Amino acid sequence: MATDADIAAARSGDSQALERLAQEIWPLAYHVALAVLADQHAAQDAAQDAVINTLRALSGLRSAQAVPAYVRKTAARSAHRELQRALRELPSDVSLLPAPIFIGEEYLELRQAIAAMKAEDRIPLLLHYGAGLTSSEIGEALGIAATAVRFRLMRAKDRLRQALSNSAEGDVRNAAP
Amino acid sequence: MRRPDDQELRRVLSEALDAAPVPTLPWTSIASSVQGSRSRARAVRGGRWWVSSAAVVALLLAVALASRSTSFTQAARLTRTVSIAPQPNCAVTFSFSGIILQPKGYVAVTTSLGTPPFVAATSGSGFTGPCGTVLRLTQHPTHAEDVFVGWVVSKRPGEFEPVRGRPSTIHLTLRGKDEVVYVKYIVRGSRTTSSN
Repeated sequence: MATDADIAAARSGDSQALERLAQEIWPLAYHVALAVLADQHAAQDAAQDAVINTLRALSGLRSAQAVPAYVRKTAARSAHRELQRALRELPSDVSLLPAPIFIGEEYLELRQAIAAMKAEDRIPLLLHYGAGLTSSEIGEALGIAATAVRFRLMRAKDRLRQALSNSAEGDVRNAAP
Repeated sequence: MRRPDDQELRRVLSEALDAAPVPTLPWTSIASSVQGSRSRARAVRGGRWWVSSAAVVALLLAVALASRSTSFTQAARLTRTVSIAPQPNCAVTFSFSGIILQPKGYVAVTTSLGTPPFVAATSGSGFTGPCGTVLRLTQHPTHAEDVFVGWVVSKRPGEFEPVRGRPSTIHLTLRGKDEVVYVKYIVRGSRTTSSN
């Protein structure tokens, strides 16, 4: 975790401090971008922009504690810009739209339900619960009002519950003699 | 789990994101990239022909930048992805990431499709052509501060090979409907990244 002294060193142009900071914030930027884009290459591109933007913005950040929040916001914004561009360019082929990358076996059912959600619901859900952005931060990144984000979050959770209860009914039917 | 509450969602989703492997940051200082390229070059000579994109960056930069000064701002560089995904009839869709649309400072890439004379096309468009069509990608510097460093191409995600000779134009043949080609180009941006 970068300290205020690290940030001050980076801010003054210390190349090693800048590099250390870039290395430190890179995973966070990448994970946030991945939550939006679900494509490792596109997420890398967006995360690179986010890291550069954060390093450029150091003089405006009050302390080291402000850095993660800034990284999350700028990474979400970068990734959303990239997603919008991709959607504009590939409007006719739904199969090319991003699908989330989830690995592991735990909560498979929940993960599958999230993977089946529309991007407009899934992205706020991942950014809020997965990457820890607030409704306001998500709204800022996606260019929508915070109230709209909260609405989408509620809708996403309702749909998730619906999908899971449908799945449960299917399980019961399948298990019936 | 049937009715996930907020806490469960938070845990599951943050764990899912955290579990995704993080690729290496595609840039480091010139000094470390030169150092890394030496070890990677040994690995290549030992018979390992594919290398990671980060290693490719280091490899390409070793030649281009070894004699330059070592400030972070001069070393900062970006990789940009061109995903090429042929559809069943060998129609091709391109996805250009961060190219041209950025305000300034990036290398632009134009594409052409077919056999010579190539039909020039704007980026990010879809094209239709028979299987076996040759795709041409050309980089054009759009900003004096950025320097084109090279192309890396992969037939499998994450396994990139540098295109030797640092040509400004590369040609790719789209052979089959299931083929997916990932292309990245690398630029060295000399823009200042610190904010004094």
